[in-house]
Amino acid sequence: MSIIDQIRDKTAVGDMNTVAELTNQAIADGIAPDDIIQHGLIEAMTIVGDKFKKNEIYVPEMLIAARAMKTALGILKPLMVGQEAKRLAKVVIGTVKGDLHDIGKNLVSIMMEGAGIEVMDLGVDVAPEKFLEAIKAHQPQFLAMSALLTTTMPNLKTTIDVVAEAGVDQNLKVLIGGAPVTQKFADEIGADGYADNAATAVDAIKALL
Amino acid sequence: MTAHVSERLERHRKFWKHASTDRLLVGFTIGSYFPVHRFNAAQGLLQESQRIWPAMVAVEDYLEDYERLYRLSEEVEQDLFWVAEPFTGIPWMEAMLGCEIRGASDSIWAAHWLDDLEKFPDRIDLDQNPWFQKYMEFVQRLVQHSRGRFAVGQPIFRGPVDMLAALRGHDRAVLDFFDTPEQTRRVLQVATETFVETVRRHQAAVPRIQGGYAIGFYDIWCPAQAIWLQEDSSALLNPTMYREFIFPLDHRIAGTFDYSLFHLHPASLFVLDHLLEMDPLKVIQINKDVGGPSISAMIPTLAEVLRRKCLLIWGALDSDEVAEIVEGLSPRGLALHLVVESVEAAGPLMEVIRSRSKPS
Repeated sequence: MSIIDQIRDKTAVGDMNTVAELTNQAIADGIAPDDIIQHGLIEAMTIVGDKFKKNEIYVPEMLIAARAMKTALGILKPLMVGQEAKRLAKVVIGTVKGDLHDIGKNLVSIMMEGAGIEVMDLGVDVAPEKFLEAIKAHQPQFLAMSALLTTTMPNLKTTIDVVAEAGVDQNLKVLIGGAPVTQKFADEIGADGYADNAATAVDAIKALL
Repeated sequence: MTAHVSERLERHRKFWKHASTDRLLVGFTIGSYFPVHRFNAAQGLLQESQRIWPAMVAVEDYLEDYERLYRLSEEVEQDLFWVAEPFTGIPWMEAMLGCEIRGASDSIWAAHWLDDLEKFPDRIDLDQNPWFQKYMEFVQRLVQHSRGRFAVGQPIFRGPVDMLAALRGHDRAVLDFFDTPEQTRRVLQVATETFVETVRRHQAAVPRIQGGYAIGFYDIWCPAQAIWLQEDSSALLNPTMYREFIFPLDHRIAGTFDYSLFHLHPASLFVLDHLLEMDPLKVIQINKDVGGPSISAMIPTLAEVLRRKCLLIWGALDSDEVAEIVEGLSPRGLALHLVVESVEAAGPLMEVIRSRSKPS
């Protein structure tokens, strides 16, 4: 089994320490960091996402796989200064104003990063104006927002309205999610996409590209 | 018009015994889906990032709200008996465990603080704990204010895994089970003992009502003392982790008194098999959440619960959903607690229950 395949398999099971060792070994062997990312880490997170969608694994397995991936990225990134990693898309993400529940948003971020998507994470309790500021600054293709509470769900629409009124990039797509959010609600408030879990969020992005 | 107390009590007794009955046990909460909005006295706490201290929660200011809510409950035809609880908007357990309590525009939340599990004490000294003192002040004042009219029950208390998540943050808490299992067990154990001790002291301070006690928040009367818990953060674990780390603690909590209830969201239904095996647990309460699944999709699961435990379904349901429950499930051991915006909204739902029920 090649070292990249080993990195993929160990990342998928969240073996952070072995992934770090293998990544250092791959670098020493002269393997390009981008190859390690594309064929080791991204493939690993694709496996994890597929298993999550089939209920073969749960949130904890996803979290430790993400941690292993981030460990490897931490080793690889300093070696990639000046090199543009291949990115599928750029996303600005956050939970809406008033919503402090971040694990769903974090899982979505993890799966997006694992799929080679650049993620600008604004954190929790993000005001519409702050989303707008980030969109202007980073010019993403996607705005992704979540709300866990029915009381904060209206802030998804408020943010969409604020962004639309500001007249920023007309090609910006909005993706929403969160426990009480449904496809019907997404349609009603004018979101372009909806995902009911972290793994399908990546599928939704790919479908909208 | 609400039925006579004796009839309501008899319906409760049948519920607990899974006895033959003409219809399910039913009750209503009038007002906002969110408890914090039902209390005018709490509105001053709902300010962004404001730190809330026990002294800012003045029990006397809340009595008018309790009185209003009690009177409102009496205007509705229902079987359940309204229960007062120490203001349920406060995350009491998290506060007692040292989390800063902060306001937001629509809620009150607990900020995590435990950056190192080793810093967590081996015991929470409730006698020196200002949030516990405030809690008991609520209990005692409510008992006094009730004058035997309503029970004083336990509010929302988060269970061990919820407390761990509050102390550590969700991501970190999940990783703790992999990285530091023994330290994690210790923190969970201390949290569990604090939970149990708090409810023990609460129950010791409240008198019997109608010859029994009550489960707060859900308003269910029971013949003896009760305890209830929720573990919403169990949705972040896998079934093996739940069984190994959390099940024994939840079992311990459920076994504290003769009557117990476990609150579940559909997202956590994967722990249901474990809960059905938890002998001391009497009631499983399942929410109908806004984001689904639908009642019709949940009927097989709800029926399985009813075969082995009492079941309480809670939510803001419409008449079609109520009809699905009445027609799809046996009324034995089944209770329905509906959240409605007004007294007037309760009547048609009650009519659906009455007209569609079949004795069993």
